[in-house]
Amino acid sequence: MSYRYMRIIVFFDLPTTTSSDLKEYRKFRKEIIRLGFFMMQESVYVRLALNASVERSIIEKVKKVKPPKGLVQVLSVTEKQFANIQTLVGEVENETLDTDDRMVIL
Amino acid sequence: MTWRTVHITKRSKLDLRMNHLVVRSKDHTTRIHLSEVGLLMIETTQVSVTTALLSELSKQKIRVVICDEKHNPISELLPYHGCHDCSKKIITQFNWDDGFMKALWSNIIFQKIFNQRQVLIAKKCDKYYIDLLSSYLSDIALDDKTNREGLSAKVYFAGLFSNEFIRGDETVTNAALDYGYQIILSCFNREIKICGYLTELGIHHKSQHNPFNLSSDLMEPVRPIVDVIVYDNKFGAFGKEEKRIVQSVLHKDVFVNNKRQVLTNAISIYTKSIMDALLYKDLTKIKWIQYEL
Repeated sequence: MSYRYMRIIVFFDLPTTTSSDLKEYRKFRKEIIRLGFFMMQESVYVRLALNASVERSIIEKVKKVKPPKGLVQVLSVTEKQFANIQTLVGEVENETLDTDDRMVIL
Repeated sequence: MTWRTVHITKRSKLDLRMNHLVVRSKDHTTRIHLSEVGLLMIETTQVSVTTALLSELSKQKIRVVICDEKHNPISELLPYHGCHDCSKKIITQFNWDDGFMKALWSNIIFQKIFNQRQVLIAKKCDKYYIDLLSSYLSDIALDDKTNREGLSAKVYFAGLFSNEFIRGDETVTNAALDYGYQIILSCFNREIKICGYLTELGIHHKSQHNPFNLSSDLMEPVRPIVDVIVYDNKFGAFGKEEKRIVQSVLHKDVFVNNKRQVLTNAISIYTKSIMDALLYKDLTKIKWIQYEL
């Protein structure tokens, strides 16, 4: 198996006017967290994928839990491209492990 | 495919949340998605785990190893049902062909001695020992009746370490070897369970005291990988750091079916291929693990 780490980024904008909209929003957010995504910033979630085939299968899973309304977009980039991200203002906070280490010592 | 090994070394609480393993220690919380975890190694006795997490770990077939107060692996979590048709698999296992098992065992021993010889060649050991192993390789009997395995192990350890080295003595080298073998054994236990077979029922190992007879059989050709790590590092003592070095064996690159794999994945492919071979009585189905030294 080859290891060509990729990042999948999900962007979403969901309507929040009615309570059923909110319910759909919460449901979608929970489902993608369950799939291993974590919040990069509000409405932007990201996940590490081992290689391109894993990446495709994860996107298929996201499609299965997509909400009925709103705007949801998915973008995959390579780990190298993702690592080039520049933080201009603020600080990145994240509890989810997102390195590509094989061995994690806690 | 899982790829992370997670080691818990500090006082912490482990629980499950949204399909994540959550590790909470005094000053830090880490979340790891379960699909990424292949092995959870709990190295201290100061950890509490919730049953929700344990059951989910079993469901997702994640290997969990628990260590005693001396940080040595003492127990592991194995699911009751590794696959959907266990009962059928177990019936076939009881009926594995005796003659074929004997042939398989001599093949496993061939691979083991071959790998041992490779180690001696790579480490430039005395030619006397290499030649002895070569001669053993050429006369392995069916079911290894003449016990070339035992002889070669004696010669091999003498050649690799020294003439005074005795397997079973309480030395640092032996502790390191035992530790490494234990980790490899637990890999095999999991793979055999996932294939739906019983680890108790071996093809050659038939000890009534060993619950992992089959795993002990299959792991034989892989042992020399551990030996190399122990040889290369020349441990003066065997503590936490040294254990970590030995554990890194799981992430070593090897070849299976002419493809590069990390050892954990290679073991998975190799175990499945052996089970297929036993089912169809076909030795050519086996995908042996090869490694460069």
